[in-house]
Amino acid sequence: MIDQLTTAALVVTVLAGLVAVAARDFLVSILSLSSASVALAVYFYLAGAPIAAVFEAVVAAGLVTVLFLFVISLTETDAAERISGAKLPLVGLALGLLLGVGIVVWVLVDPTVGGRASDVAFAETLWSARSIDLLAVTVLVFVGVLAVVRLTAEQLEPESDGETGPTAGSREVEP
Amino acid sequence: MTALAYGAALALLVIGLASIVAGRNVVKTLIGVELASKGVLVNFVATDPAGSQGIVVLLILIDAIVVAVLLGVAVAAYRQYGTLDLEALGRLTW
Repeated sequence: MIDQLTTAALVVTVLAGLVAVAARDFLVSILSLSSASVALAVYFYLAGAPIAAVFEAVVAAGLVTVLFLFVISLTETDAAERISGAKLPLVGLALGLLLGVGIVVWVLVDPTVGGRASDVAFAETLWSARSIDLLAVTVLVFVGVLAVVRLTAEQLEPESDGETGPTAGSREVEP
Repeated sequence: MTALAYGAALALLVIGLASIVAGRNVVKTLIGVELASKGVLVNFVATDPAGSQGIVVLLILIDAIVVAVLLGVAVAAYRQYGTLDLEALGRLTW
């Protein structure tokens, strides 16, 4: 049972990755990347790494997906055709179905599989022996946030004319 | 089961690298970066699930930061040049 679920999670991860690369629509690409993250979180949990599974589900399937959606809505990319408005409920339904299946699998699986006995030891190791790493990651998070805020600022320097938007500063690059 | 996990890790790495090399759009390239890092994570967890959790958590966070900064660079490049097409943006493609 567990082996079959693990196999299914790995296969779904690879297939969703293929779809994410092959799809022309950016929205489909990003949503299938999120699906790959959810399936990978299920695999992490089944393999005995529950905290890594939680981080994968929260950060990779949540935060990174929101960042990608933010970017394609900011840039209004026209290289690939966007999904039409009538298809959006279908995409939401598929994503919700995937999340529901993930939650059901999470509940049905025997909780002793996840290696609960090592959670306390892992927490001690993380917060005591790895405290410098955690501090470094916290500093990196703040640097990343500052860099994103700085780079995506509407006006990096005060322009003489009042033009904004992507076409204001666009110029051709030499081929 | 471990062999299948290693195969999946290798497949994710190859898919990500193919998207990085052959992708024509910045967003597709960053999706390739994400997939390649997922392959690395699968490799870590398949080797030592309980022992590599700390490394995997740190790698997930660092990967999120890297993608956030690169997406910021992509938005800045779009504001500057008006396109996200790598063929039009630079000469580092082939």
